[in-house]
Amino acid sequence: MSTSTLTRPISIEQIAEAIKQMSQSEIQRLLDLVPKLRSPSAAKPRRTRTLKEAQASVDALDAELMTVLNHKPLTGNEPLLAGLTLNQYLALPDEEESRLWDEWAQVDIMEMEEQEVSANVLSAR
Amino acid sequence: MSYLLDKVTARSIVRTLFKRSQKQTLTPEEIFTYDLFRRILPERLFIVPASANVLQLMAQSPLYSPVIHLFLSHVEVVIPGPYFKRWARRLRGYAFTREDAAVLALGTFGTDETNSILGMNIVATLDQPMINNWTAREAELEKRLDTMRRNLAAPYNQASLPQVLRPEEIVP
Repeated sequence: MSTSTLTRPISIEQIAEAIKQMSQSEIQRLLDLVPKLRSPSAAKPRRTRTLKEAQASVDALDAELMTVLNHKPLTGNEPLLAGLTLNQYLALPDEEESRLWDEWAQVDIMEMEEQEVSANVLSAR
Repeated sequence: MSYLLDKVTARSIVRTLFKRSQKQTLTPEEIFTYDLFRRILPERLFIVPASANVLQLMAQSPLYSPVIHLFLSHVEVVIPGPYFKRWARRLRGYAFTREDAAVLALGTFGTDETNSILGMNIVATLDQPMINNWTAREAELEKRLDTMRRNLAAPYNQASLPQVLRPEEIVP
């Protein structure tokens, strides 16, 4: 199997000139094709948790969960909400569960009143 | 550090709590959300008002309320601060859904019950299309927010964009 190497057809300056003339949608397409052109923080490979690491947390939280349940696991046969038992709720497809949450939420955040924040607020920056 | 769980992530954590209450096996995605919840407990963890409403309804069932209260006891509800709606409307112009724009705007202009913070450090989400769109447009959004900030008085001129990450990407 041979490896082909592309010879750069034009100079960096010519590429830069071509980019300057691109529309926003063309730039977006270019960024999709060459993700490393994005900001350094976005292009930097991110370390992710492994399943093995995550499993340790599960074991710890399980213990807390069993404590609040007096060490009696739920059967799931009792009603949870809107006539659904826990078992029926857990068997719902994701789309249906999502639809029910929207229905049960009964709030439109865009209609909520905005609250002033304190002058000495802590910014998340 | 402050973390905002979008509705899908909060729903996933509650689902995993219910499943583990029955000793059911979790999917890898559920393990990561469960793990995130456990790991960030010492930090400030927020949910959106819609999630809080659903959980309050679920908590009315005496049998299941200990599980729901285990979750609710560790979270706060984010409240929209000034300019939240304006920023959410601007985000809609960058191809975010209405709900995505709202949660992302809370990440910048959300506050807590005592109105003592502005914005969140991290928005945790399982919504990969939202993350992709955010990543692709982050530089544009930063510029847009910077322009908006210049016309705002303190403390709103300190508003910043959150990081938008999947649970497994949130590492110490």
